[in-house]
Amino acid sequence: MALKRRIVAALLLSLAPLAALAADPDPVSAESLAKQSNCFKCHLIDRKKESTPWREIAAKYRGQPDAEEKLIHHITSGEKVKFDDGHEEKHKIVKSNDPAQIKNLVDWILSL
Amino acid sequence: MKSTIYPPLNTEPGKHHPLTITLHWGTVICIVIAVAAVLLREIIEDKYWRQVLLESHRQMGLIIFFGVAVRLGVRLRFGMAKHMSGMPRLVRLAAVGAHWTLYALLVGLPLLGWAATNAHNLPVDFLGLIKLPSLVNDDGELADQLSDFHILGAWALLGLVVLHATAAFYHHYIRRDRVLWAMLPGSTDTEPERSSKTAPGDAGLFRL
Repeated sequence: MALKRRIVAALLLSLAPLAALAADPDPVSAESLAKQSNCFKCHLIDRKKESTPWREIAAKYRGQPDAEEKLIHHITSGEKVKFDDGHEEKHKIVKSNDPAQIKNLVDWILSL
Repeated sequence: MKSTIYPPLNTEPGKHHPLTITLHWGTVICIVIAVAAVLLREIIEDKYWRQVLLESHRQMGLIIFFGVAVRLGVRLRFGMAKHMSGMPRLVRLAAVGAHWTLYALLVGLPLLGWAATNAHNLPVDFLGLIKLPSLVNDDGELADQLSDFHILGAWALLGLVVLHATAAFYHHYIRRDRVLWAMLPGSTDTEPERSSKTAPGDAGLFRL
């Protein structure tokens, strides 16, 4: 009995990282990082401001296998982005050094 | 504020200099358009109109900026008609402070907007004719900070404008002096039918 329980526990424990991988993004932490990084100066969730609404971005990238990677690059590299009037600016860099937190933000945006 | 600052030209409480009056009401119109444009832009999603509104906002700000420069020149050269007599010293000081804060904001807000635009890697021109120099380099973080100050200053300006207009109405309708009248367009002659303390019950546009 005890052995069985221990095996089940071990199995469950081995699955734990998988569960974390598949876990839904934490919207509270994502939104607070977005606020702190001034994302909302240009992006709103479902209305156009200076840039594309995040729902539109989520729709565009959903199903693309490298979406997460692309978006992480977009918010961490300072790559050039084009504005409506044709001028270019470096995209702001997200204000976090924690890859998990950045990934969470991107996953949250993709989940919108 | 002794008379050394203002030449004794306008010590008779008549109207302000015509250029001062024109620039004052021109500034009012520009502020209304600038505020309307930027607020309307918040609710509009169309790319083209958002650009038109932002550019209108910028140009209104620049017109105000250069207008205030001219206005300060006129004020230093010709002074203002003096209508402050009879007000308590503290109120006079508050009024002087409020007016110079208004000038500072009317100069500072366009400058902040101009710099914020440059920080967004965009040149600014005046009425599509004159290319204005860049005040700062391309810097996204700086652009955000400048925009924050611009917005903060804008609320301060709106607050002061409300105070300013309230004071003008107080002078006109309650104290019944000529403070507002002095800034109204029209003849520079003094107003014979209205003494400074008692007003006849006429029904002009700006009377109650």
